[in-house]
Amino acid sequence: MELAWLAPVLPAGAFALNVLVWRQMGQARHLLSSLTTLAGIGGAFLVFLQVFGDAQANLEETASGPARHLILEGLRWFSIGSGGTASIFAPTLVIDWLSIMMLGVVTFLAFLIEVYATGYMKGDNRYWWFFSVKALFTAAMLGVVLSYNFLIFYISWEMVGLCSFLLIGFWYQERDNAEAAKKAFITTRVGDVGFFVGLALLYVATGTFDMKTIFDAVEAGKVDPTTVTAAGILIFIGAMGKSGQFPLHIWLPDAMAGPTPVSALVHSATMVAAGVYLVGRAYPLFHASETTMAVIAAVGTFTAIFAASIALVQRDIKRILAYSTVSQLGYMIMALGIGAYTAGLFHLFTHAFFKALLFLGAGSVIHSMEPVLHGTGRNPNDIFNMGGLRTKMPITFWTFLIASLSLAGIPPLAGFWSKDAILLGAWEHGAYLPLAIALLTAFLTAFYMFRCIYLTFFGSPRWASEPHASADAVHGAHAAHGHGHGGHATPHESPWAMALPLIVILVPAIAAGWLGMPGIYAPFEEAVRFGPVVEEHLNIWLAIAGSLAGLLGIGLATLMYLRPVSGPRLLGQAFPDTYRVLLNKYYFDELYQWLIDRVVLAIAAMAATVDRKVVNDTFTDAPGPIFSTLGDWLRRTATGRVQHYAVGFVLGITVVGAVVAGLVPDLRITLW
Amino acid sequence: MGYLSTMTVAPFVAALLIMLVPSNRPWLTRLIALGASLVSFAISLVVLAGYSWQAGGFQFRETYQWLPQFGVQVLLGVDGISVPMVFLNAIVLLTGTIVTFKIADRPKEFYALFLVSVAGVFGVFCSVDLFVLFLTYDIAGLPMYILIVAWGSTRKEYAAMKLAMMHVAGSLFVWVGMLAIYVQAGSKSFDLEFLAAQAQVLFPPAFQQIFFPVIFIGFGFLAAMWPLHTWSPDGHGAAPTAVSMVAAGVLMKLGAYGIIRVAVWLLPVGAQFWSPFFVTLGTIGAVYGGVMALAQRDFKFVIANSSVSHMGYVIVGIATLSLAGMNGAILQMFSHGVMTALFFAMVGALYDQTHTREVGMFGGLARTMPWFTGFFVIAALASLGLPGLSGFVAELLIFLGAFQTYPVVGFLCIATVALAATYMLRMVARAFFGPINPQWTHLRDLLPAEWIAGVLLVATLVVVGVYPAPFLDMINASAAPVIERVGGVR
Repeated sequence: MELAWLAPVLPAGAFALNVLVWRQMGQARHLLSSLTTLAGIGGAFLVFLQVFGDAQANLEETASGPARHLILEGLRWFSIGSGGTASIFAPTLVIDWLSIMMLGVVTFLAFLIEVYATGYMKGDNRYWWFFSVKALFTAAMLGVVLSYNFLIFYISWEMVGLCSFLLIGFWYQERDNAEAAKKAFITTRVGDVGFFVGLALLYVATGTFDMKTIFDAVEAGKVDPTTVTAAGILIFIGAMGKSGQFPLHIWLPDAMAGPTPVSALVHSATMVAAGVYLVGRAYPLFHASETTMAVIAAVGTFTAIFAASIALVQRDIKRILAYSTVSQLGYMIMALGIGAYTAGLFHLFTHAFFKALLFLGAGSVIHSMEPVLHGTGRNPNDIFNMGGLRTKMPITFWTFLIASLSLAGIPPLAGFWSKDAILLGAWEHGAYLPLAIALLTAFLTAFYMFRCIYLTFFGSPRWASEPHASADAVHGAHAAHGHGHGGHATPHESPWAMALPLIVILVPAIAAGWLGMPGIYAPFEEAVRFGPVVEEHLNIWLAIAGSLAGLLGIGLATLMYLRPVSGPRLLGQAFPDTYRVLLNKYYFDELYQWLIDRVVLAIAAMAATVDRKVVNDTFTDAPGPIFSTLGDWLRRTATGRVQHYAVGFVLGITVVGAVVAGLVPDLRITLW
Repeated sequence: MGYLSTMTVAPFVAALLIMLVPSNRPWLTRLIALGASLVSFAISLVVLAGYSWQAGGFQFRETYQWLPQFGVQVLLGVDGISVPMVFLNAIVLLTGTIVTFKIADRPKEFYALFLVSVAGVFGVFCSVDLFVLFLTYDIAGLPMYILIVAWGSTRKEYAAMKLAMMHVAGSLFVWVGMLAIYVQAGSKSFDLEFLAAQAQVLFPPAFQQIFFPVIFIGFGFLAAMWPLHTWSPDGHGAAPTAVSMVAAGVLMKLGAYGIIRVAVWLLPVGAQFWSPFFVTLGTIGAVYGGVMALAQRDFKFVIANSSVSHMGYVIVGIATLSLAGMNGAILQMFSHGVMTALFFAMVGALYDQTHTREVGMFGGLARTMPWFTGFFVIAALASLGLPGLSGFVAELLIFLGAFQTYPVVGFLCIATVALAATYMLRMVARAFFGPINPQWTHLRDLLPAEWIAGVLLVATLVVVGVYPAPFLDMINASAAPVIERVGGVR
């Protein structure tokens, strides 16, 4: 376990090697970089295996008391002050089941997604840069996972954000991608302001960033309760930014502008889950304040249903998944907020696998649609341009289907168990409104996922010709305008580098939930918990209700979309306003755009004008005219008459003489 | 001659030599300038490595008599505050010299003036004598006028005049404060160490309360403290590349350095009294500069306004009189200097080819100018306080210091960081990403000289950002006694 620090260091080393050495290697840099990155991440996975095995044997013994963790103290990073009063800033790592779980998820998925990317990114002229940034990302993400010091956590968190920025904007030649990257960075930065202020409050209260010291101080009641609440809410704002929680959710769907392997790893399974992880990691702080917990629960619950409703009508396959991610993250946050600690993190665990799988499947679909629709001007991400891909891409279809069933919470797949844990948690904590909303969200989730499946994989192929049905669109205004009769290629299954990871990730997407079957086999609950072990029992009625919600959603989607396409059109015509609001994501993008353009930039422009006209032209330039006027006056003393000068001369001599003679007191200021 | 005098005099001697070189031998001019900057740079490295923070205090001392009847001596020495500044100046001198190789217009005169100015800066950072400090302070500032008027662009006459006048106005305040100190002390000494040691006896509280703001404001002109910042956007905008690098990278730090070295160190009681006032000005500057930067359309104006914002942090850090804030302020001075030098070196590389700096005129430069983009983006990331680059630790400490003393100020400063992300990324995304503007497909990437300068500056940002301990130990060794004197928050 003591080797855990190697996990972030290995990919970081891979990044350094790629950027400093391989970059100079001409065309060979592409191959070298991808291999180095795979080696670095693979090495981190081996570290995980070692830590995991070691922890099973030793974690209970090495840890003192009920904390069940091992803390690795790092070397001094920097310090200020000296002697006993010095503030020392040093990285600290923690090994407990929470960090081990995330360590496994991140390294496992990162490795497989890198394998997938070797196929997906083939031929890109910045292939080497893609793998370099992915290596840096993995290192930073593992830094987030392992740090037990808020400052180091925050630093890794920011580095993760930087990598996300670089990866979203990877194809920066498209203006939209660059804009999406910028939006993501700035939106999360807004959340990070809250995070940072929260940290500063804690630092002032406790004099440290060390999590253990802070948590102990909070637990012992040494920190003022107002500070605990304020810091908790502020830090949670940081988590909201990273995890795309309302109202900071707007960046995540746009982030789909990045290459799909990025969406799968960064924007669904790992980085966006970092916010949830933060809530889990700093739980002692949040749990100490009921207000904070209530805020967390409210934000999560609202986001879950809010994002699910938007996902109902989206056309871009990746955006559907993106809103689904936002919604599921809301689910997890909600669970943590109502006190169902294990359930929230369990859902984080299972969700990472099936959502990564869904994204990789979507990437596989897009990868094969791109050549087909090339040159037609039609969007290869649009599910209304797909259809009938089931037989063309069987591996993709089956993995996507099973992952969707898992997400929809159909037993016995992974998603069922974690969703059930959340429902059970809500029931036991008496959170009935969140419970109801969670059930409704489960229904919506199943519906939009199967809408997506039917339109993508079933029905008649719409990629071969002009779309004859503009389907959902009310006015058909958004329907793609093709120029030709489809491309020349037909969709086909993706290469093995891409298909194989799908199959491997399928295993945990099915089975990850079996680690948390209440009353049957639940090692997860024993490992990742807050407080004592609670024996959970399956509540059969909740399990049925949860499954039923999913089945109903699937059923409705089948009715409406399996035989296109009268149902959706009716729906769009029956509720045109609702439909338009949903399609436009409740107009939040427009609202923020307006705020930025009309408020922030207007204030900036006004300030700039004031600075020029008032501060500069009026005050700074003012002495100019004053002195030239003064000069004009003084010039009049130069009369050219000797008598005038003689008078001045005599007066001057008198004053100087008086000073020299000591008639004027000492120049030293003796007034005080 | 010792290390410090050699380092200071080398650029000055080079300037004199360059005057003797015939105008038709520009390469000889460049060689001499490069030689002098390498000598100074090498010595600054020796000083950096050789300064012992455990021992603390002034080291590498040299003493020369000058005007004993007035107590004027040339006392040289560096402490933990000035060592990073000396190193900053040396690296800006070296990189500024290198990127200026390409100028064709009167290189001889340019280098002579440039080197004189930089020699003056070394003088300020190495003086332990108030008189020499003030003298070199003016030597550093005044050549800027000619440099901008003769080699500048856009509104250069106006900008140069404004910079010169504001510098002189600031000097006036400093001059008054300095003479007041000299007269008040009454011991015919400009020796800073002596004055500081005797401050409690020599300077009664009322005296300190009157003259602390005089000196602070005097140096505040050059530190671009709000509302005395207006020379900065015009000055940087008009100045040629190397001059922008020195003006923003180093001259602004002279102001902040003077504030610490003279105002806070000699007049601790005044510092306590005026702390809230200057914290307020610093905060206004930080927020104001950020908001202004958001509205700019010209690369140099964005960067100049962001400098006002960053120098606002420095003022805040100093004026909170907290240990964290002071450490952070000094590190921020260093880090901001390196970062802005990098910015202006890059902008110069672009402007030389395009003769426009309008951000909106560009697009997709990352494709045609990858190195340029890489360096510029790193500077932008440093500016928005990304961890791993030196600005982060500095700002972190300033914010902590602010939170310990004035939490509202801390909050405003942190919020400004989000502004920084916005204005920097707007600029980066607009100019470097997106489709290529066909007008600029012919642009070449960096020249070797520009590339070397970029690598040096980036490496400094990264090294200090990743492992700031050696720097902070040094800074802390000299900042802690200052804070102890004023009884600030530890």
